[in-house]
Amino acid sequence: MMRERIWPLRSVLSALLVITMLVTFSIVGGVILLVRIPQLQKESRAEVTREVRELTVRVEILLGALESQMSFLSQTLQKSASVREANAVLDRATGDGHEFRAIYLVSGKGTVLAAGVAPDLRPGREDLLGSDLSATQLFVLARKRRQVIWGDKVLSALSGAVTVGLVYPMAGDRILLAEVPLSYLLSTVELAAGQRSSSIWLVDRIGEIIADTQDGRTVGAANMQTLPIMQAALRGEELPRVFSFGGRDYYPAVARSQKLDWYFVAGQPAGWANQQIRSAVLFVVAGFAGSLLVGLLLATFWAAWLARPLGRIVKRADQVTRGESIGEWPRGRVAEVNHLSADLEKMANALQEREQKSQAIFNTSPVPMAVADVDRQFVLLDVNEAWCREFGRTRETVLGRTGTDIGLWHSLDERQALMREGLPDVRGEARLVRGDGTVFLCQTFGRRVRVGESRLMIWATVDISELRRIENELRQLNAELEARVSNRTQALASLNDELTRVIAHLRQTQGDLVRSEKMAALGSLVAGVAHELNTPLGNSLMVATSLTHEAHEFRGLIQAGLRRSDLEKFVSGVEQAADIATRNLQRAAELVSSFKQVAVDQTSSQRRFFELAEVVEEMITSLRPTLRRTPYKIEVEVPPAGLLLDSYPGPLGQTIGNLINNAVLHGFDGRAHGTIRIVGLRDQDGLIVLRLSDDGKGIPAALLPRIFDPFMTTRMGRGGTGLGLNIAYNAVVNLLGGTLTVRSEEGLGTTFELRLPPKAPRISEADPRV
Amino acid sequence: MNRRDWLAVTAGLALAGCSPEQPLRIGFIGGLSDRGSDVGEGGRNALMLAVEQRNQAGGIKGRKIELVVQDDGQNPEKATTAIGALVAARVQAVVGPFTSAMSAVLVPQVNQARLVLISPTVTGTAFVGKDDYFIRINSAAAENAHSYAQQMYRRGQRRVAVAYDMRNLSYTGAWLEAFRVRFVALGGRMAVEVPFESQSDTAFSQVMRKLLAAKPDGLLFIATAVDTARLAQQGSKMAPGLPMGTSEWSGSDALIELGGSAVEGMLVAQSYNREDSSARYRQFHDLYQARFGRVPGYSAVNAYDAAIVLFEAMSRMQGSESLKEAVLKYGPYDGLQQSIQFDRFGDTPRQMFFTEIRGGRFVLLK
Repeated sequence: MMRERIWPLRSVLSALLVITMLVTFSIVGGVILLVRIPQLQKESRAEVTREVRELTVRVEILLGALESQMSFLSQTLQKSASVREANAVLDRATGDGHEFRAIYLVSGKGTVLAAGVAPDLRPGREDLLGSDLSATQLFVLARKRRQVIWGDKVLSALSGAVTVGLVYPMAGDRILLAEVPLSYLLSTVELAAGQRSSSIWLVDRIGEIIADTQDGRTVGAANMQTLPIMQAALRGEELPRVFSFGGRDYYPAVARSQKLDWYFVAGQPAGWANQQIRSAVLFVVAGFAGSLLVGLLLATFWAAWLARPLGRIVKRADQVTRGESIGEWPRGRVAEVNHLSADLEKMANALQEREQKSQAIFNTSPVPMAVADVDRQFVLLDVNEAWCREFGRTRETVLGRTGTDIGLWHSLDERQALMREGLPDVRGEARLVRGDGTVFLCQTFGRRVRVGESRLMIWATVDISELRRIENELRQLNAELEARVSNRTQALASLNDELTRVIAHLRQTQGDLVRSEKMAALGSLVAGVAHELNTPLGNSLMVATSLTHEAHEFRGLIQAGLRRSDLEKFVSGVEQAADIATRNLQRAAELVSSFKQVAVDQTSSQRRFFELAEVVEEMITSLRPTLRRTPYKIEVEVPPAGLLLDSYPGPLGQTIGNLINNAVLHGFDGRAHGTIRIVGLRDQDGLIVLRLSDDGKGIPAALLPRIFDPFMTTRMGRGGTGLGLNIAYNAVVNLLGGTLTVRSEEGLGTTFELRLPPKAPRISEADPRV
Repeated sequence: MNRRDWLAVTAGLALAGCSPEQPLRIGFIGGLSDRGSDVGEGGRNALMLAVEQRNQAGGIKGRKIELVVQDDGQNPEKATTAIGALVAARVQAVVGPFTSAMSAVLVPQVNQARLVLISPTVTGTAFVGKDDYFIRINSAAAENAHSYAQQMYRRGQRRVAVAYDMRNLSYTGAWLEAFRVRFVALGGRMAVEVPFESQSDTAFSQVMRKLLAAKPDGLLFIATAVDTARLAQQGSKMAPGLPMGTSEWSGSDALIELGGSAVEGMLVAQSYNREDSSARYRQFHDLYQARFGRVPGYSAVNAYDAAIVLFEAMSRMQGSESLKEAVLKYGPYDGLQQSIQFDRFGDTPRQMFFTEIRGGRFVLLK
């Protein structure tokens, strides 16, 4: 892109004023010309038309005088008898040859009978007499028309000069034929034209120019017949607006003289050649030039006047920029300029204050700071007081010199390394040298900033020798601490290992105990079963034995002689024995069936949908034979439907059984009455709650936290395994996914509460915890 | 928009105002105001017609032709002024003049200005065989005069009295010389040779008396049409029936018009066939007559031929060629009636047609 040229205000103002003036005048002038020129053209056309008509009439009048003369001559000649007389009459009519060069009296056959000629041509008169003019066009026309005829441009039979013929028919078939010189026509036209502005051409029938208002310069030079304007006039069409002739343009007008049978062609100069148009254009151009001149003079003066106060303001601003002190800000007579001056004054003052403030801050800073010029090998431009104190140098000795010059750097390699840091910020450590030669370690901060055209580097240095020392001490302390922590950690780790081993041992011991407890429970169960079965089986055996004995005795009797009484006694004995055996065996079968039922449900961990009431009812049914022998009651408040579970009914039943057994064995121990209450409901969280409460003696508070622990029993050695509640707890928590809690108060009873999710968590069938 | 753009726009507007091609200017020089003006006028009219036709057909290489007409007035001073005006008007070539007298004045000037001057009618022997800027359409006077000598001798004339115009001596003198040599060679005799000054007050009766005093059996005029007519008028009065002849110079319609019955039977040669019935000539003839109210004369036909030569050469002219070179190089040109082929001096032969005036008309002799 081309760089815009900058102009001084004075030139801009001058140009603005001049252009405004010129544009205004151009528009005004243009409008004047646009309106005026067509008007002038119209006027010129009207003028030329009027002039050519007037001229035609005048020329007709003037030439009419010649016709009158011919008429008079004709009458005179009627009376003349001889050629000599006729010649004399004609000579007189010819006069000095100004109007007529020659006048011939021509016979009807075209022979010249008499002739009057201009004095200078008289020697040729004799030649003329008797000449035959019958072939001349004019004679031919005259013979045909018998009227006054103005002819075309022809060559004179007398002199050979170019003339115009005029014929006048006389009485009989004789004809008067006059040669009118072109000069006469020329002077006639000029006379008739007077001071007219139009150019006029007199054109004959064949288009030849026979006279004009330009001293006859165009006579013979052209045949006008070919011009479009003549063609249009001949055809009676509208004339072209402009026609060219002799290299000039004209607004045309054409008039035909009926009397002369000639055309008068007139033209007003067209375009620039037209006086009025030229004047109008010149007037506008002169106005343009005049306003340009006036504009240039006025604009220059005016612009200078306007620009002067601004120039003074600019000078002051320059001084402020250079930091020079200045006096008054200039005031002028233009309000805006004064405003500008006042504003600049305020601005300059504000600027100075700001600079003083900056300088004060710079010098007050406790951190040593320096300003260097990036473009001049980091020459120091300014340093603050802290810097002078820290480095033990004075401003005067360092300003304008580089750090290298004044030996600021302990090692130039360090300086190089620092400068290589990324831009625009530089940060690093370096050893610097004070004025007294001592070296100290510094943290150096540098920042490149662009202030106007110059690039500056602002340095700040902090002495970090002391900081470095404290850092080292801290580092040492830290290392010691770490070693101590490491030792402690090792000791703890070995302790932990030991504990882990102890716990593993305990777990093994617990597993052994559980196994031995299970064996003990099995032993107890087998003993119970044996005890229960022993009585009916013993009775049956005893009956069978006694029957065998009786049968043996009976055999003896048979051999000894059987009596009727003996037989009746034997049959009665058999009947009694069979009755006893049957009852006892029935009892044993009942017992086996009951055990089998309990065993089957307790081991089944099959999952299915079931109602809580079903399981409770089943359990109570299985326990009822046992409870029937006790004074204790069970009250069940479980709704038969609505508490549907997707869970394991076996473990749930076992849990209920264990809890009931617990109440009977421990809660009602030694009591003659007791009631177990079983309640089922759904809580607000959607969990199914089964509550078993008894009104037994309760559990001592000291035992309460431990009742779900394995082997926790108060009946050690009295048949209790201490595993019942533990098994129940494990089943509820691990298999059914619920919770088992206990509330008890000594003497008032115990309440166990199961909270079970309607859908038990899925576990593997082979989960060893079950 | 910067200042340069403004300048370009202004210049563009200024240029748009100008026509793309300035017209080519052709000059005309000939007598338009004296007793020879019938010849000049005929030439001028034919040239105007030719220019019009050429412009209607698109001009030359797209440029229009503009005609600049100057009158030589058969006067050396006026002719000098006239040719100066044409040179100043920067014309490409000039058609004219129509008399040898004027040629004598103009040829040195056009040679100096290197301006092609192509004369339709001039036959003067002085201009034959010269390598200059003067090119002639007509044949040489000497050849014409030879033909005349033979023709008149054949018509039985043995003692011929000659009147010749001193004002165009370079033509009339050469013509007379050639005629005399040939006529005498054939066995004829020159009865008398009477020079005269063609002026308005010339007493032609006296010239005629001198001619008749020598008892000729035939009269021969070497003069303009007007002067020939005036001599013939005297001849018919003083010696009716004496055979008369006149050089081709006077062979225009003005001769018949002004001569009337006095020129009946006069022998006059034409440089063209007035009775040509070819379509091309008739078209030209009719157009000319319709436009100018007269039939074309020899000056008209020859000037038209000159225009044909000039326009053809100008349209075929190559880059660095001068117009003169082009005119000589691109022949032969297809003239109205004859083919025109120049030699290296710009001369060309032209066929003569002898006629006799009968009943106010030029009648071709078989």
